[in-house]
Amino acid sequence: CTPTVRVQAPTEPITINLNVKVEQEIRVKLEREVEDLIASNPDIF
Amino acid sequence: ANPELEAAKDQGVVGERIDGYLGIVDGSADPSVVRLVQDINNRRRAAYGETAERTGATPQQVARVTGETLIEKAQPGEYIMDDSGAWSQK
Amino acid sequence: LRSRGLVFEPGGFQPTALSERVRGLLSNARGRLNAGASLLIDGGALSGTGFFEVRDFGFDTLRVGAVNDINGRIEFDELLELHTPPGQTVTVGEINPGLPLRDGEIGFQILGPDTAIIEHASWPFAGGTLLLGQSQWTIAGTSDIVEITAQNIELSRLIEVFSLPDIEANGTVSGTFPVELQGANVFIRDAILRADEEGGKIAYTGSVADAASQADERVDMAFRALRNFEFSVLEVGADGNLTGNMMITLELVGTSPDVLGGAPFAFNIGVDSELSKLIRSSQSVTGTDWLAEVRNGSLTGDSTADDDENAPFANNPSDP
Repeated sequence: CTPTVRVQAPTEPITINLNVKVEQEIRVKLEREVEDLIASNPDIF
Repeated sequence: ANPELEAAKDQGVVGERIDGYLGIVDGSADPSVVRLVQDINNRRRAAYGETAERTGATPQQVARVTGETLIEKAQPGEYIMDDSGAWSQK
Repeated sequence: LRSRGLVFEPGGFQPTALSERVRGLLSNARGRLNAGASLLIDGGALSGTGFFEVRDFGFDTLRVGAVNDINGRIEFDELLELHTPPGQTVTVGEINPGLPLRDGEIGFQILGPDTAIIEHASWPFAGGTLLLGQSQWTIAGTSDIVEITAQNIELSRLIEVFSLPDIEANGTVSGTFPVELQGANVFIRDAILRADEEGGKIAYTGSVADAASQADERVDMAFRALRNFEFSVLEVGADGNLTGNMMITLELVGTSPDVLGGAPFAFNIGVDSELSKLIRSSQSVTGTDWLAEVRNGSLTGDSTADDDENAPFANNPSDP
C-alpha cells in the first residue's frame, strides 16, 4: 500500500516574523506648507 | 516679524535649530530671553501640530522641514544649530 | 478684589499684558478667565487666598501642543506663592501629545510657580481609558516622566484610531508604561499592552504583497490562518517618539480552526511607522500598504527592532 502522508499538526508553533516599514514620504508638499506657515506667522518665525 | 526675537538674534543670544525650535546660544541668557524662547517654542509646537494634522505628516517632520527652511533663510552672522548639536554662525 | 471676566484672544489681549513674568507660561491664550483674591496685611506680612475660574480656556505648550477647552475653578490657599490645596480639578476638552486625547479630567495640586503634582488624570481612549498615575510635573518645564496605564483598550477601536485597513479584531488589551516628555518629543519606552484574560479574535483579510513570502508555503498557510485567528497571547508593543517614528510590535500566538486542524501559529510583526501619520483619516493607509513592503525576517529568526532615537538631540530647545 502506498504510505499516506498526513500533515501532522506540529506541536511547536509555526513562527512567522514580519518587519513592515510604513513609508509615507510627502516631503515636497510639506515644503510648500512650511513656507505658508512661516509667512502666516511672522511673530513666531 | 517679532522685534524682540530679531534683536535677540542680532545680539547672538538666540538662534535657529535644525529641529525647528529656537535655542539659547550661550547658556546664561537673562530670564526675559528664556521666557521669550519658551513662549515662541510653545506656539511653534502648536503650529507644527496643527500643520501635521492637516498634511498627514508628523509634528516632528513639520518642525524639521521648518528648521531647515529657517536655517537657510538665516542672515549671515546669525547663530544656527545643525544635527551635530553645536552652534555655528551663518 | 474681583476681576471682571477677562477674555483672551490669540493676537489680542494676552496674559502678558498683565505681567511679563507669565510670558512662556500661558502662550497664545484664548478663552475666559475670572479671578478673585482677598489679601490680608497682618503685622506687615502680606498673604492672600484666591481663585481662578476658566471657561473654554486654551493655550499652547511645547510638550503637548495646543490644549483646548479647559473648564474648572482653581482655589489658591496661598495665592502669592501660587500654592493650592490638593484636589483641584479641571476638565480638558482636547490635548494632543501626538495622539488626540479628548474629554480629559485632571486632578492636581499646584505647589508653586514651578511645580505641581498631578494626582490623577484620565481620558477615554479606544473604548477603554488612559490613566495617568500620581506624578510630579514641572510647570513650564521641559522634561517630565509620567506613568500611563491603558485599561481595557478595545482592539477594534484601536484599529479605527490608526485607520488600519483589512483587519478586524475583538478583545481588549491593558498595560502600564512610562512616557518621557522631553521638549517636543514624547518618548514611549517599550510599552507593552497585553490581551486581557480570555484572548480574542483577529481577521486579517489583506494579502501579503511580498512575492517571496507568498512562495514560502508556510507563510502562505500562516496568512490563511490569520484570516480567522483565535489568539490566546497578544502583546502590542510600542517604542519610539509619539510625535515622530514609533516601532509597534505585535506578538500573536493562537490557532485557526481552518488551518492544519488548529495547529499553533506564532507571529512577531514589527511595524516601523510614523504613528501620528496613521491617525489622519484623510491620510488613511489604503489596501495592504501597511503590509506592502514586507521585509520578511527569517522564518524563525527574531525581528530586528532598530532603536529609534530619531530626534537629532533630545535635549530641550529652550534649556537655558
